Formats: sequence, C-alpha cells, structure tokens
Amino acid sequence: MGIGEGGKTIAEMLEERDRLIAETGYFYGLKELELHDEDPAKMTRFNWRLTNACITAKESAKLLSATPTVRTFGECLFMLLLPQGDCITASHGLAGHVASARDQIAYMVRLGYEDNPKIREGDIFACNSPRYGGGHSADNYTYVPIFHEGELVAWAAGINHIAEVGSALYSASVPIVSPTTYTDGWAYPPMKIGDGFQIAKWWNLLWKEKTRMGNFNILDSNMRVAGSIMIHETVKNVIEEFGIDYFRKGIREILERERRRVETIVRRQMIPGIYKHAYWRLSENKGQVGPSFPFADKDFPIHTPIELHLTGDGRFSIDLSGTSREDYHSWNAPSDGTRRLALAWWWLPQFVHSICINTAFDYLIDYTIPEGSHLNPTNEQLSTSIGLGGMATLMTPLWNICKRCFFSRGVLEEDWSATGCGGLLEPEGVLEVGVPWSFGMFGAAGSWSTDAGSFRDGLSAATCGFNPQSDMGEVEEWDLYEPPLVCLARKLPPNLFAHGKFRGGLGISWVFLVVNAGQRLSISFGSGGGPRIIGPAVGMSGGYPGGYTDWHVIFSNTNALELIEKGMGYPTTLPEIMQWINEGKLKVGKIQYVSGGMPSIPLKDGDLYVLSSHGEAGWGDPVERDLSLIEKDLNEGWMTPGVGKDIYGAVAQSVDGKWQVDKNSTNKEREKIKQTRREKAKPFKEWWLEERELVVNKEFKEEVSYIYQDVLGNAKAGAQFRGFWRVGEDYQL
Amino acid sequence: MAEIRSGELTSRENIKLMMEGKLNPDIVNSLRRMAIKEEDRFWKYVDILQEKTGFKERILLRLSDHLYIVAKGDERIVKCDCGYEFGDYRINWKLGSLVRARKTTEEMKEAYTFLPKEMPHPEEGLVEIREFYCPGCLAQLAVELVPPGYPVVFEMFPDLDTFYRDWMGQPLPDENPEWFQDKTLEEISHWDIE
Ligand SMILES: [Zn+2]
Repeated sequence: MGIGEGGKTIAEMLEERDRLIAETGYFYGLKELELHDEDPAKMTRFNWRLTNACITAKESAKLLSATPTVRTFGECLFMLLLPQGDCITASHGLAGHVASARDQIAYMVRLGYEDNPKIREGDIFACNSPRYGGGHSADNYTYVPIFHEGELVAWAAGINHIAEVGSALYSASVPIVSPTTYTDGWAYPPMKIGDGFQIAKWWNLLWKEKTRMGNFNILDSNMRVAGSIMIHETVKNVIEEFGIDYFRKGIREILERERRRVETIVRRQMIPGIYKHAYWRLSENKGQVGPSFPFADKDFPIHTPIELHLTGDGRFSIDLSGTSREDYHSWNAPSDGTRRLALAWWWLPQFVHSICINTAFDYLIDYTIPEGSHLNPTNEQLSTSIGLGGMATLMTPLWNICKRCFFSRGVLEEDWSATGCGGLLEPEGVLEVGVPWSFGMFGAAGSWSTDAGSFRDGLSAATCGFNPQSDMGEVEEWDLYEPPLVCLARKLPPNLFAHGKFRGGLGISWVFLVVNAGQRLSISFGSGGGPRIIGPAVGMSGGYPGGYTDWHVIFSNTNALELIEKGMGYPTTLPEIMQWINEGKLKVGKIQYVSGGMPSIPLKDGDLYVLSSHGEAGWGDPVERDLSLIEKDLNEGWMTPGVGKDIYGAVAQSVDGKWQVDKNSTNKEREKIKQTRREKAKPFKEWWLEERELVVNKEFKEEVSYIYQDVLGNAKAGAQFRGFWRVGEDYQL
Repeated sequence: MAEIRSGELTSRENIKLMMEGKLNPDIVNSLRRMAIKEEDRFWKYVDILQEKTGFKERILLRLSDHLYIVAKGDERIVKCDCGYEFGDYRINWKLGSLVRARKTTEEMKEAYTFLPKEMPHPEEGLVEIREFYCPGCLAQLAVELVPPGYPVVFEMFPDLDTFYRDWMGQPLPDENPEWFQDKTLEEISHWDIE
C-alpha cells in the first residue's frame, strides 16, 4: 500500500505521469482542461491561492534569515510541487530552482524512501548535494510533504543560497578551488531532518560543526522549514475549500495549461532550425591547491559546444557533443542539474511569462550530454562545489540563440540576455577580539548588466540571470557583515563594456579599503570567468561578445589610511588609483592582478582592493553607432574620447565642457576604419588555409589541446572538426 | 500614458519605429508585456524589411542587421543589404566573408577596452578575436571569441520549409527536403589545399 493517490506508491505515480505524457503528448494525458473551461474564475482563484501561498511564505519566512543575501537580494524560493516533484507554482525569487525539486523527489522515490525512512505527515526532508539535482551545495532545499487523509497530495518546498558550506581550502559558499569531493565542504543527500513539523536537534549541531557560519545557516534552515510549513497550512485550507478532487485535478491542469502556453510562445517567437554556439571558461587552479593535490594543480578549460535543434513539433533537442571532460576542478555539474536547473535558467526568462513559475517547459526538451563530461560526470570523487558554474556555460548560448530567433521573427522587444559572470566576494577572518567571521557578498551577483539588443543599449547593473527579483543591496548593509572591508565606492567606470552599434550594459566596480583587519583577513571570489580568455564566444550581428570582466587588483602597503586621516580624500576607481599613483599622491608596495575566480588572498590594514564585473555584449557594427548616443556616452562619462575614436570612429571635441561629435570628420574616420578592415582582413579561404597549417602542425597551447582532445574524442564533434579543417580521420592531439 | 489598444500597440508603424530605436520605451515595455505576441508580427516585419532593403527578391528570413536569406530564382541565398551575395544559405555565410583574426594581446585589447592597461590579458594563443566583414560594404557582420583552431561557428541554419509550412501556414513554393541540409563541410571538401 503506497502513500499516493488511491494507495498507489509515488514510484507508480511517477511512472503514470511519464506514461500519460508519452502516450498523449498532454501533461497527465489532459486533452481537455475541464476545470478551466467549466469555471475560469474559480480556477483563477484556485491558482492565485496557491501562488500566493508561496509568495506569502517567502515574504514572511525570509525575515527569519540573518543574511542580506536572502532578505535583500531575495536569494530564496518557495514552491508547491506535485507528489512527483513537478513545480506547479512558486514565489518570486531564485526562480531557476523550480526545476531541481523534480529530481530530488525522484531520487527519494528511487532510493525507496517511501519504505525507509518513510514519508509521513509532519516529516521534514532536506538536501544540498548537487548529485541529486541541485547546482552547488550552497543551495539548500527543504521539503515538507502535504497529506490529505493519509495520501500524499503535494509537497511544499523552500530553497536558499546559504552563507558558507564549510569547504576545506577556504571559507566560501561557492568554493572556486576544490580539487576533490572531499574538499567541497558539507554536502548531504536527501535526509529526513525532522518529524512532527519539528527540526531534529542534531540537525543544528551538524551546521555548527560542519560549517564556518553555523548560526547563519541554522537561521536559514529554520526559514526554509517555516515557509514550507506555511505553504502546507494554506494548501490544507485550499483543499478544504475546493475539495480534494478539485485540488488533485486542478494542479495537473495548471501544468498542462502552462505547457500549452509555452508551446504557443515558442511558435510565435522561434524558428525551427539548427543553432550552434560555443562557450568556454577557465577554471584557474594553477598554483592554488597546494602540494597535496598535484593532479589538480593546473588551469582547466571548461568548453561547452552547444547545438540546439528546434524541430517543427516545437521540441528542443540540445546536443552537447564534444563538451570538455570531467576533471579535478570544482565545476563538474552532475547531469540532473544540467538538464533541469541549468536549462531552467535559460527557458524561464525567455518563455515562462506566467503568473505561476512552473516546470511545464521541461517537457519540451530532449538532451544529449556526453557521459564523463563536465556536465555529466561519472567519477564520484570529483568536486561539484560550483557545478553551477559549469552549468552556467549553457545560459548565454541558449539566451543568444533565442534572441537571434526573436530578432528574425521581428519580436525585437524580447532581447534580454547577459554574458553571466559576476560572482561572490567571500571574505573571512578573525577580528581583533578573537571572533571568527566570514561572509558572501552578493552585490556583484545582484548587479548584472545586460547585453545590447537590436535597437537599444544593454541595461547597467540592473539584473541577475538566476534571480529575476535580484537587488544589489546597500553598500552599508554589506559593510556591516564584513567589518574590515570598507567599501569606498561602487561605480560604473568608463569603457567597461563590449562594443557594438548598441553597446552592452556598463560594467561595475568596487573599491574597498581594509580598516582594522584584525588577527587575520583574506578574500576570495567565486566567478564565472576571467579576462585571460576575454570571454565567450559568439557575438550578435557584428557586435563584440560580452566578456569575463571579473577581475581584481590588490594594492598592498598603501598610504590610503594616512591620506584619509589627513583629509586628502580617496580614489574611487582603478583609473583614479593609477592616476593618484602616477601623481605620487598614493604610495603602494605591491600590485597584484587576478583574473576571474580568486583564491584566498590575505589582506592587511591599508590595502586597497578593486573588484570589477559585468561588461556585457554589444549588438551590431560599432561604426554604425548613432552619433548622438556617442555624445551621450562621452558626456555622461561612460566612454572616453579615445575609445570613441578608435572603436566607433567618432571625432569629438569639447565645447564649453560638453562633448560634440563632428559628423564629417567622423564619416572620414569611419571610412578609415573600414579601410583598415580591408587591409587587415583576408578572404575567408586564404585565412582558412593559413589557420589550417596551425591545426595540421598542432601548434596549440596545452589548454587549447585539452579542449580539442575532447572534441576529437567525440564521434559527432570530432567529425565536424576534422571535416572543417580537412585533417583526416586519424587526426588526434 | 493613454491606454493602448492591442491593435494599435502592435501596428506596423510601431514595429517599424521599434526597429529604428525610435519607439517610446513605455510602448516597447507594453509590447514586452504581451506574453503571447500577435500572430502576424512576422509578416509585418518582413514587409517593413522588404521596403527598407529595396530588394527585388523575396526576403525569406532576416539573419542579422545586414544579412538576409532571399529567394533568388530557384536559389535561396544569403545577401547583404549592400547587395553583396554570399551564395547558398546552406553554406555558412562566413565562408564568403573577409576575416580578420586578432591574435596578439595588444590587438585584442584594442577591441576590448574593459581590461586594465596593466593587466597582461587576454592571453595570446589561448583566445583570438575573429571579425567577419562583408566583402561588399566592409560592415562587421559577426565576431567570434574562440581558441585558435576553433572551427568557424555556423550560428543559425533555419528549417525554412517547416517554418513556413507548419508554423506560418504558408508553404514556400519550392519545398524540398534538400533545403535543410548543411552544405558547409561539402563546400570546404572541394577546396584545393595544396
Ligand atoms: Zn555588405
């Protein structure tokens, strides 16, 4: 006798769901939406009661959290799930996570949790191991089953990004350097952590022992449980009001309604065809792991070639043949997370324009993800501590593919995309009085800029790909949690974007000064990528692709504190710091440049730290940029006249302190740029012949060979590579 | 702002103004808030583009700012709005372009201004910037940021027959399964490599 509907087991209900979809093409075989048709107003009321239950749970429960990450940035989500784990509706917030719950529930079912440890009313389950469908162990999921007369009818769930995961090498919620699973920190499989709606006492002890910020993590855990129980209560009331039969049928109808909706959106905005995109990053570990992990002491390229085939029946088939292998870096992403979570980041902002955030889109996608690749690892000893970073290699390509289609269909207003770097600053230390502390600053994660569209520039510091409710937060609030790091300025410095007829959203930078470092202080930064490879990979319409603008500059042994004491002020951007140094005003000892993710770097009183992030992609040929837009950029300080001239051909003069672009000289300058193009460029075939030499002679850097080894090792991707360069079947690296 | 009826909101004139970047941002937002777009957007768009380019051939699809797939005689070709013809759309049009590959740190930094001067990146040999220009008008049509030796990316290969027949309800007159066969590698296989 199972706990599901009419005594079925949940395993049987899972099988039933999948069979009905396969047989009919409709969610749960629902060819007709009877409840919607009978009384649409009643259905809307029903739907809103459920959606509001999730929103209310989030807005109330988040006040239990002690971190601005949850309270301000909104890095949490509450959901209502089918017994099988499909998300029916959710709160606002960390929306991508709607897709992970389905796998975590399925794992519990497959592992036989119905029998042991049993799923009963009042139980509380939790999971954060990315091997069960999540993205990284910072994301902690909590589940409370909802029963009606002894049968499981739904789940309430909460998830949030916690402050610290207890990784071995340094304090972080996203440990960017972790050579094996044993250095990842605390990752737990689905566990029953309480019953009778009470959290077990040992659970909180585990947080204290396993992580550096136990108290913060315990409060977050309480928050997830409290919000889930709130949803549980509301759903019980809804069942009483509408009746259990209406509830059961209604939640399935919502998913089928939403499936039809996204199908229509796809047909209105996309074009069947084959789309290709390349994306890659570097996991820069060389010199960072110490002598204990020689096998991990190198820079690993993470390459994800994407081929998307959209077929006439509106299905997306995503083929990742040729993807880089799994390896001893922290970005391995178990395949469940790749298929659900990572792709939800793609399809949610592009297609799910609905009152209820749900997982209906999931049923439109098929996948080919090579086994043993970083997006489908098989070696369980490998780290997954920031698998989400590997998964995120799918987002920009898929967003861009959609944008390309929307443009070709004339749906130009749908032009949201971003290049998606921008990670977490994670300082830690011990205060002078001996109190240890650590913290993750989400300001950079919450202030993504966006790529340009076909008729407008990108937005600046305005969004976040994972979290549509993002907020970069108040500087003062973040400062409170990282006492020795005083934020001197948060600014949009000039030229920090990729160029195009329409330019990408402006990058943002922070300048921090270390004051009262205490007994010990170090900072690390979990990032999507660094400027060693500039960025990925395919631009739009002749615009430059967005770059990995996560970079860091650390100035040690400065006299900044002295300057402030003397009332001489302080510099607020990197160019200003360099100017102050050149003028002899600012004295510095050592200058350190770090690309992308930053390992733990110790800081002392008076050190200056500059963090930069988010210069996004352009659209179109820069020399076609409207002169008035260039004037505006110059006058508002987003672009310097030199860049205006070199890239855009704009000849500008300052008249009474205002920049004016001269049309005639600009036309001449732009002709010159085109002339330079003619001189520097070669007819494709000529270029191809020269490049081919390099390929034939295998003149590749180690990291590049690494990428092509995996391409060549894959039948489909290998044939493409060999065919393109005509290097013969036996070509290997 | 006065309330806009949906018919006016999605008028040909509004779509044209949006393409030119001249549509009031509030109206752009109203368009964006339409979860399901009006059915005939594509036809309005193609009509505007036909007028804008002055092409005598029928536009089948716009690929980018400058590039279109057009029906020319019994061919379907990629054509730049300057008039330059790239040939069969089943072959990646980049094969008919002019290419400049920026390979040194210095050359790459000229195009990417967001890196501090003092920073020794991007790293030569690890990445290169490929710029693809139109041989006719020298417009920059595409940019790739890839490792050296990366096969050139065929960004978009639409299944035009399926699109027009199944999604738009107006089949193209010259339907043929051959139209959805990528011919890029076949083209390269004819090149003389000696
Ligand atoms: Zn041209």
